[in-house]
Amino acid sequence: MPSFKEIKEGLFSYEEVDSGYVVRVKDAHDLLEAAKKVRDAGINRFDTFAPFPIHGMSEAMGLKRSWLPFITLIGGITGFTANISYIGYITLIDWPIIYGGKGFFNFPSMFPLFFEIMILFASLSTVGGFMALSGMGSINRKPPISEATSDGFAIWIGDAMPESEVKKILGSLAMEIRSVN
Amino acid sequence: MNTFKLPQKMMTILVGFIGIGVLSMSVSFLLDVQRGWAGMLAFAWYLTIMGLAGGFWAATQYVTQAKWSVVVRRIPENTVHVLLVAFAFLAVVATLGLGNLYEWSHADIVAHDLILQKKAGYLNTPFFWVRIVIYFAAWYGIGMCFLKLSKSQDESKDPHVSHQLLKSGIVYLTFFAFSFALAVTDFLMSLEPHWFTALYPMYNFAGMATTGISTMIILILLIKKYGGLKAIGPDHMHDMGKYLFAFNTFWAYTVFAMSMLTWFANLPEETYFFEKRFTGDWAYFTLSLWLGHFLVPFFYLISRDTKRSETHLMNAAWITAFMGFVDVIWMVYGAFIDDTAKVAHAETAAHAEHAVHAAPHVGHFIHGFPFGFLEIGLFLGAIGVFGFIVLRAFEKGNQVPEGDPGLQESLDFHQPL
Repeated sequence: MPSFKEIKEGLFSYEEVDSGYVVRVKDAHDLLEAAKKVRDAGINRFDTFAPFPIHGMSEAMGLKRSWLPFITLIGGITGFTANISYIGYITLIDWPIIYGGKGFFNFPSMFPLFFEIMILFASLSTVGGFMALSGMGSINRKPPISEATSDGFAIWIGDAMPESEVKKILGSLAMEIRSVN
Repeated sequence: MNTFKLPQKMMTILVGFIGIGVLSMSVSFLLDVQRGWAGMLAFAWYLTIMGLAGGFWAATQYVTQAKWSVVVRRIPENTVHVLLVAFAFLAVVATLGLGNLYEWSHADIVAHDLILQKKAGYLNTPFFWVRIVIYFAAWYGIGMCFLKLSKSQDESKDPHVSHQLLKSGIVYLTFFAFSFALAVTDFLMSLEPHWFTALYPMYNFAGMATTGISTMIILILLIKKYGGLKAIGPDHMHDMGKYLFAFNTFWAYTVFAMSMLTWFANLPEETYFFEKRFTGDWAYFTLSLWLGHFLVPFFYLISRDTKRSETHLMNAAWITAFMGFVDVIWMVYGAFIDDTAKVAHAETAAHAEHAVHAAPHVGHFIHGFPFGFLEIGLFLGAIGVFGFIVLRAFEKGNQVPEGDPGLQESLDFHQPL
């Protein structure tokens, strides 16, 4: 019987801060600038750490737009069509019965049902898709500097390079460069 | 003062639209007086909802103290001027055209109609006039009060003005909820005074909001195209697009709610409203309204990129604005569908009493498909009047509320990726 921790680690994979450098910067504004510089230098493995969400960070880090809206759309369409086929199968093929004097397949009266199931599928697929895309399991990830949970800002550069290179990229933004083993 | 002036060319085009509107209205009066009155009512009501939506939308922004919308606010605030023209036209309809449109205004018809006698305490001509004056005095008065307060803030930079706007916004929204529901009942629902549903005001509210947002978007994008309103970026237009999308979907929701409940209950007093709109050419008209007002803009606007693109947002706004007018025509002209043959047939049948109620006494002059070149001309005329008046008023003041405490936050507004 595997332990709970093992199951959790098996379910989610995430990038651990295991190499390169962790660089502290002064504030959120400097972190944005640092992220832009690191992205422009062509470094792929990097991440930023801050105690709060920062506006414009996605653009500064060059993150692509999330696929989440498409997952929602596909979930919604799937729910709608699946429910239409299900109700259609019941009321037309499996057990046709007239109630309310409206005929076999009551599209208008069933429409609220289609609508609700569509929303249910769309929202559940959004939740699932969000968990999968964001790597929800990595919430137990340790911040590379403990101040990132209170008042510290840091950027992690994962690529192997000499420390002078990091200094050259970040310039005066770097307050403290720490090497990760 | 940071003002903006639209090029004379665009103003000439808008005046041309007004000319087309005047021409269409005159021609429809010459061809058929009753159809002329119905067209004038649709035209005036369309102007009313465009003028009301601005005040309503601005009030929601004051009350929620939304900051992103500060730079967008001047166009909605200025739409209140349109209410004067709308009132002028509706006053003509309510005096000279009353007998041609509203059967409850005829004493001889009411004398033979028990239902109309019971409703006469509310549906009578003097009280109708009093109500119209109260609605428009309050809507115009509070709307002008918004505009004046908001403009006074430009010079004084006094943050207390925002609090005054919040308070008057609460008053406006409370009054608006009741007065709009009653006005819809008065002008449109009482065209068919035997018919009833409680969802009609909600349906009209959704249509009003959709039409209003789309015409605001048209004007804002037009001004942006000619170099004005530089403070408004794709992030603000994205939110306006979301408003349009949301209210358009809400419109479809209300249409479905109204129609489905009537269909389910299947009461003859209620169903004739939809039955005559699903007979003959009107079936195509109704279906094209539902598809064109809901499905086409829904799938057009569902993507983020469409809402952020000025061209696509403009297209979608034109579609919904046009469909808003088709919706008004659907409600007004539907009351006068020529169904004499069917009524004569039904009178011999068992449900004679219902058939008599269903028969419009004032006239059934709508034969076949109701939407033609004259109606398109009326739509262009309404857009011309709206654009001309609102843009002229907009040119007199600052483009953005410069004294609003939320201005900087609005300029920095940013949509998350």
